[in-house]
Amino acid sequence: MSPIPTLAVDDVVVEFAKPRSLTDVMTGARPRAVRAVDGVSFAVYPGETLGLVGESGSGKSTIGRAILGLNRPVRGTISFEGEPIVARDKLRRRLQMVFQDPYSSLNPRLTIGAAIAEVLSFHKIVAKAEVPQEVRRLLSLVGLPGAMAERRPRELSGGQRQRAGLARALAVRPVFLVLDEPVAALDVSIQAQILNLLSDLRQELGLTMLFIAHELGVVRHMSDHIAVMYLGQIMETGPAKAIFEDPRHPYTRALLSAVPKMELTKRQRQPVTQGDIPSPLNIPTGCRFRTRCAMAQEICKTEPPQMTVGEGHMSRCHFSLQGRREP
Amino acid sequence: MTSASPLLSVSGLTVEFKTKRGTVIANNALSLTVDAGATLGIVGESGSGKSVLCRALLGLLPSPPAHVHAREIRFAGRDLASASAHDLRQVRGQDIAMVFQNPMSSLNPVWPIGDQIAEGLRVHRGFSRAQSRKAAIAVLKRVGIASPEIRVDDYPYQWSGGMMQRAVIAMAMVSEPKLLLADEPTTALDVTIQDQILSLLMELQRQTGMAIILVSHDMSVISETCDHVAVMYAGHIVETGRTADIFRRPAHPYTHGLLRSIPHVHGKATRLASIPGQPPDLAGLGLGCPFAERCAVASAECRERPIALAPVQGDHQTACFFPERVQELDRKRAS
Repeated sequence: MSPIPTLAVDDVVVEFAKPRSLTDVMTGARPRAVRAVDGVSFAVYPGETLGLVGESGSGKSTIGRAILGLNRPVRGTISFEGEPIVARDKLRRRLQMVFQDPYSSLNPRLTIGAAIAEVLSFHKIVAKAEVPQEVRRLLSLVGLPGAMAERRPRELSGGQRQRAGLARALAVRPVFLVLDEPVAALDVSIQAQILNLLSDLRQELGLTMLFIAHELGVVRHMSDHIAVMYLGQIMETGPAKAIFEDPRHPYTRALLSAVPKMELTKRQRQPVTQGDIPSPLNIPTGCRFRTRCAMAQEICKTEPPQMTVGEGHMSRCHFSLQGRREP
Repeated sequence: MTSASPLLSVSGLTVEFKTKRGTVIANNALSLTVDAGATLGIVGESGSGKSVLCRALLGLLPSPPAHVHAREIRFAGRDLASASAHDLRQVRGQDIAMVFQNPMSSLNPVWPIGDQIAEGLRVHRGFSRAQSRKAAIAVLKRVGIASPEIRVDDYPYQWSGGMMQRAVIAMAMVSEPKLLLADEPTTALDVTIQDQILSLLMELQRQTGMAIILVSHDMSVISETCDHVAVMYAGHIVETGRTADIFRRPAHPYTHGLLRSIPHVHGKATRLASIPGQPPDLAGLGLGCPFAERCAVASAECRERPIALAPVQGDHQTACFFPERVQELDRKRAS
């Protein structure tokens, strides 16, 4: 782990202020904040893909947006290629984001070609005369015919729009991509096309990626390393193989067992978890997962240690080593 | 499918929408049966016509633009195809209930949850306020809401997505329906909450013996909940049969492609087999197989001959002329 990570997130905290109601003001109640991300640290090394997985409200998108500077952390540092990010102007050419539905990130009035050309000219990626040619190259890179340059976003299908969004992100020739649920809105056959395209692009262009998704199968498919988030904290992180084959945190195990297994028998079993994900306004003390955890005991009301359970494999649970197979 | 007559049998159901661009056939001569106490899964991608099918069965499609006609829609001995609006309303309120994808849009935000659940009982069975409140509390308890006697007065905004979906299921269950239509009931939910809702639906089915039509785009959800599956593509049922047969020996290239494009959590991670291209425009559909354009084993004949379901084995049926070619697909991939 000696090389400099492309992206390092260190102890980042992001809060959103909760609006004070009239009653709060009258009673002089303290202003409250939702801590969406609470002390998250991870590093992504050159050429690697880190998968960030979690359910709604886990803070996975907030982290992605914080990296792009769309949310400002109240604490912690985010470094890019060894330097803490201060000014972002230069970074925009190195760091790009792909959103869940490009329908909401592409300008509906611009043709796809114009949307990509805008980026090329603004950042002066290629000479003015070469812009149309570069647009065609980018479109073919993401598997779109050149004729798509004339279309507007509404004339494209979901999969085509996602390809166009990707082409626009790749226009600045970034080294790092943050992909926030890039396939969540797509049908499974189209989803597979986009996932395969992303794997190919990663190899061809040597991209480093942060891949944010709620679906475990998708994350596994794309990632070298995985971080599992729950209510603003990383519960477990490690190599993809270890996370899927030897998960140490009860939450990771619950997530994995909750996915239907294609056993082709009608389900008779009880659900793997009881109860709801707690509100981020009212996070349990100690281990955040203890209110839904089948293993929870008295000790779980105290802050769980971050235990190293293998090479680059960390689990935030008092019982991380319980039931461990001897190697 | 069994010797006794099925609870629901539909034959030749066609739904057309007249649009500016031409006639869209959203459901093309669909036939299906559901036995009492069994689950039929309808699987397909967006635009394949699965939700239109549910709405057509319940008579919920506004006409115009929709034109619904069917040779037969027989439910529990009654003919729904020729039923009056009033009779359909009775059936909807009592014997067939529906659960939609997004619980937020099925609940009225300014009305207590308990009142909404019991509304059907007051309208259809003339329950008094006290009676219906009692029934609402009982059914909330049954769908796993803690302290239902307090929460019955809550408003939807006070509940999480998973709890709201339980409330919507409660609303469907309160009239003890014989058939529950569940249209993507877990798609908007997190995976651990989806897990809870699927267990709940299966348990309610065991307790009450109701039949379920479960519509989903997710093959894995279908695999754990359904006895039979109908695979839809571009308004057609392209393959139907027992769940195990469909998953183990798919006899249609589309089903095969769907199954191979799922990124699995369990087992080995491999490169996904995506289906090339995208679903066809329903307004410009020709005569032949609608999947031919994306199919790796299609021949010229596929584009011309109108498709129809034909038996493969037992009650397993496929609309592919060359089901034997489906095995070729795996060999092609391996090489």
